[in-house]
Amino acid sequence: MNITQSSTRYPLGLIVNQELVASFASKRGIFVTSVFILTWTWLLFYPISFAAEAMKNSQGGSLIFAALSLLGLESLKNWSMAEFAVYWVVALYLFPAFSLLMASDQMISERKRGGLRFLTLRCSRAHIFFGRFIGHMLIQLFLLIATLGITYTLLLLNNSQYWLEGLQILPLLLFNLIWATSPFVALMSLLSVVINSVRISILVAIIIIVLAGLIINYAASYFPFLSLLSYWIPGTQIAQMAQLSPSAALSSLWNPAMQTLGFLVLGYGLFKRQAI
Amino acid sequence: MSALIECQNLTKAYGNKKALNNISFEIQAGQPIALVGPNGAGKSTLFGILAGYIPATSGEAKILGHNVGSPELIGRIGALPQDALFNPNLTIQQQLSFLARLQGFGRSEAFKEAARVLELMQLADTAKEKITALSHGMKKRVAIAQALMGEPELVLLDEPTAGLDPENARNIRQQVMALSDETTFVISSHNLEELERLCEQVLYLDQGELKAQHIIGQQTEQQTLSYLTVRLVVKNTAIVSNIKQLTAVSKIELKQGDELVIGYNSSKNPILDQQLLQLLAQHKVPYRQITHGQSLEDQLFMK
Repeated sequence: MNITQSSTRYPLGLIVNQELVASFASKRGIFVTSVFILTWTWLLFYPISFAAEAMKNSQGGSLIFAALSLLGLESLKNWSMAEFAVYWVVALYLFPAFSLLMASDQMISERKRGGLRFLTLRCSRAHIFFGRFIGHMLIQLFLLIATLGITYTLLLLNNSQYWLEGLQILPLLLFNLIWATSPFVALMSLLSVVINSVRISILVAIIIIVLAGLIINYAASYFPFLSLLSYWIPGTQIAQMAQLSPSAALSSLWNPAMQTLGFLVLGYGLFKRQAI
Repeated sequence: MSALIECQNLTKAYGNKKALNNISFEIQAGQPIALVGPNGAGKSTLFGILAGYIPATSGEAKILGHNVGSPELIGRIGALPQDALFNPNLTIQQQLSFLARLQGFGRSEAFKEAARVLELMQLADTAKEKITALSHGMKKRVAIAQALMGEPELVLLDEPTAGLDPENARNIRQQVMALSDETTFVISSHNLEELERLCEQVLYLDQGELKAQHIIGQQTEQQTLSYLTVRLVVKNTAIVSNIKQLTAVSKIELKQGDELVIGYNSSKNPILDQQLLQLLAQHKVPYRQITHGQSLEDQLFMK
């Protein structure tokens, strides 16, 4: 029996879709998603809810504001919606950290078991590489939308008079956070190509993010031009973004955009020439 | 019409070691083709380059007139990669349907195509299983099934029967023979008997170089003699001297005790096979098999 093949192919969409299915079917995916859900449930219903409540009354608020000043986040007191103020700071740090774990195995296990060889006769390497990246960015997007939705619900429960302002800030928060997370996912795309162990790739990512920043700062004290290298460390702008409102933080997004593009170009360049 | 596979000065180097050294050959579509050679000869590297897994260091490889890796080849080539495994977290049906969709099948057609190739490999019952639930032989047959999706014009099979029990190996050989009218198979294997049964042409690689390319059983330009191979029921050295006296016989080699390889000039004696049968009957020497030509092993390795 000869089954007729349809003439239209959407390999990128199919790869993205399969990555979503495979990510949530894997033990790693189930584990990281479970940890994510538990962490965010706790964060939303305890620290975020508590901090938002405290910021609203003068006694608790002054305590929280003093703590924020110590952390260099005093600008948060200007937020009218306390729930989103706390969410903004927590999400800016937590989403990139989770994305390192969630996106760490874009190709490593599959390359090791030879599974990529089933794909290369059916689609280009560009489809595989960018499809995996887009798939993981979509996962981050879904998780961001889910947590933003719950935070908005909390806001409605506590301060329903801010329903419109809350609705207006949602796209800004989403846009900022997805861009802030993208270089971390792109870095894992690059490391998926050059490293053959998922654990080592996570370790290398942490070393790049934590240690490289310290080394560059130290070296830049002797050779100031080396400070330019810090622009290539993912998350280098996050501390600055946390002090700004989401609309003001948009001006910092060129840096993660540049990093994302750089990591993807390098990663794809290497993957294109790689024996699989 | 362009050749099915065309390689020009193909080289693959790993540091100073050349896994393939400037090989050139052309293969036309047709009956299955054997790729043989010792371990480390470069067979898997050649397969890898043709299937797009490994980039060549230099030279050119074309399939159906298109460069390897070209989008025009999608759905026209199938391959069984050596030791490649499917995702352990998804069902076989999910994975084969996904691969079929990448080849251009619609959603329901992809599902049917996955079922069709599983049926071909007698694995229809395993569609909803995960690959980890299957035996080694079944995993290999699933991998072969994916290579057959979409009825490609060329299928590259790297060690298709290695590690399989005789019944499964036979099933795969039968499938190859059944499909070889529409599809050209290139098969790499160490099992020369199997290749001899399946294939018409042979490419012999050694130390990264193409040492021979010829039709199995056909006399090569270097060969001045024709051959008859006789397998006796029991070892019989006495008959050798009688065979030597037959017209045009120039050499006899006794192999493994019960196998005789007779080299002769066929233009001087075109009916040697009949004379040999008469001689064996006359001396009451029982035999199992008489074949024209040498075995593939002898063709490749006998000096």
